[in-house]
Amino acid sequence: MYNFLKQWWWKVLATVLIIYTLIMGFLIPLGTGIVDIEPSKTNAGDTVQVKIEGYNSHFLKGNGNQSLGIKAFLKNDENLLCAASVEAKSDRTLWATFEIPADLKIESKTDFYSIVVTDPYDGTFFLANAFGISRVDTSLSSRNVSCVKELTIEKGAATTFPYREILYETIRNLFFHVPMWFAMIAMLIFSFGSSIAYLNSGNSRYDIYAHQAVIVGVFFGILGLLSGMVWAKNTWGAYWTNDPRLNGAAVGELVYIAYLVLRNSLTNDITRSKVSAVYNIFGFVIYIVFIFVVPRINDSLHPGQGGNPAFSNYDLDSTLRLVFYPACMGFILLAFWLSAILIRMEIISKESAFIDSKP
Amino acid sequence: MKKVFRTFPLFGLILMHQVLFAQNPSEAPAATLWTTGKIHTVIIIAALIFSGILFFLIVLERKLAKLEKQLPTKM
Repeated sequence: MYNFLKQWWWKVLATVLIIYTLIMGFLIPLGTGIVDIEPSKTNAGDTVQVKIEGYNSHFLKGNGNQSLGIKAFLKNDENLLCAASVEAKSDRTLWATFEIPADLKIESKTDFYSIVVTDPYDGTFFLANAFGISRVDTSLSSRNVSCVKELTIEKGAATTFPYREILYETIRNLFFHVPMWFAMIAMLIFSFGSSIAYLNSGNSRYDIYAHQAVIVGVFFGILGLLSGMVWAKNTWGAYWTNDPRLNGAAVGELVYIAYLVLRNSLTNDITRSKVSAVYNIFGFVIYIVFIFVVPRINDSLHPGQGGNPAFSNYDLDSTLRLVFYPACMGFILLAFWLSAILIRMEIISKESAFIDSKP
Repeated sequence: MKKVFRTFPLFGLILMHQVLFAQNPSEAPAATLWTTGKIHTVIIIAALIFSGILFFLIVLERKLAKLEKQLPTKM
């Protein structure tokens, strides 16, 4: 292990991966979405012109100044209405005219429709349940309308991160906030393994590994909490919510801060090493329970909670993976790098003949 | 100091020009979303993480300096 910590190739790899994360994480654009529509409701029987405001949309791209190939739909579970005409005013603004049949089947007083736009360059994107159609004349017989057999979902031409409401551009935080936790867990596993190795062998170097790895792990955990708080404020609306994952992470953090305090409070070297190694092994188990088991049992605001594994196809698309996995690898290696420096310094101060380890 | 107080109202005038240019507030949220899409959150978080790593380096530096002091020969 000590030789591995002194090697340089994985430190170069860490640098390359983090630079890659920064470049790709910021340069790949966000996919296309709909920010707003105006008006957002109408009555059955009316002809309505809806102004659609796109985000990162290219309504004019490749079409000269026309709206060739752009299609707009109003869709709910039963009905599918096609736009009679679509006109792109700019890359960001699209006007779609819908003729709503008077005898459209409406279940409740007002039915909500998703507005779907298919663009030859940007692919298919939508704003869910955004447009309300109300019924005025109840005497008419009602029918289901479907202007095309099936709505084909097309992929956009460009490589983009998925556009999600509420998240928007903050989806890029996936490459900064989440790897903090991966780095922390990598450090804690390293520390856990070192503590077991220490109890097996009694070699004091393993004790140094375990201690320094926990310091780096706690450091990354604090970064993860802080970055998560800023993200939560901007998406969920509060710095701290009573989300089981948040509280679990905070308690887990405290378990390891207690480890560091415990170490400092013991003066005898051998006792300190042994007690903290045992504490570390139990603390790791508690930590895993708090951060992985408890949030799975309860519902959480974090994706992939409440029984579902976090790495579902729904949560992570292939473009996100392209940056997310290197980001995790890069920050894990960075954590090892920081711990390697701390470990080597600690070994010098403990084992060097020149340095008196007891000040 | 007197000069500062004398020029202070001028700064007020500069600020007023911004107030006068404030446009229809109902359009503001969509417009900011267009241009930024909450990108500032990502920048704050990336800056937070890298300043955290810089802070770690400072702590490391101090630790190393302490270690150097214990060496018998001055480095």
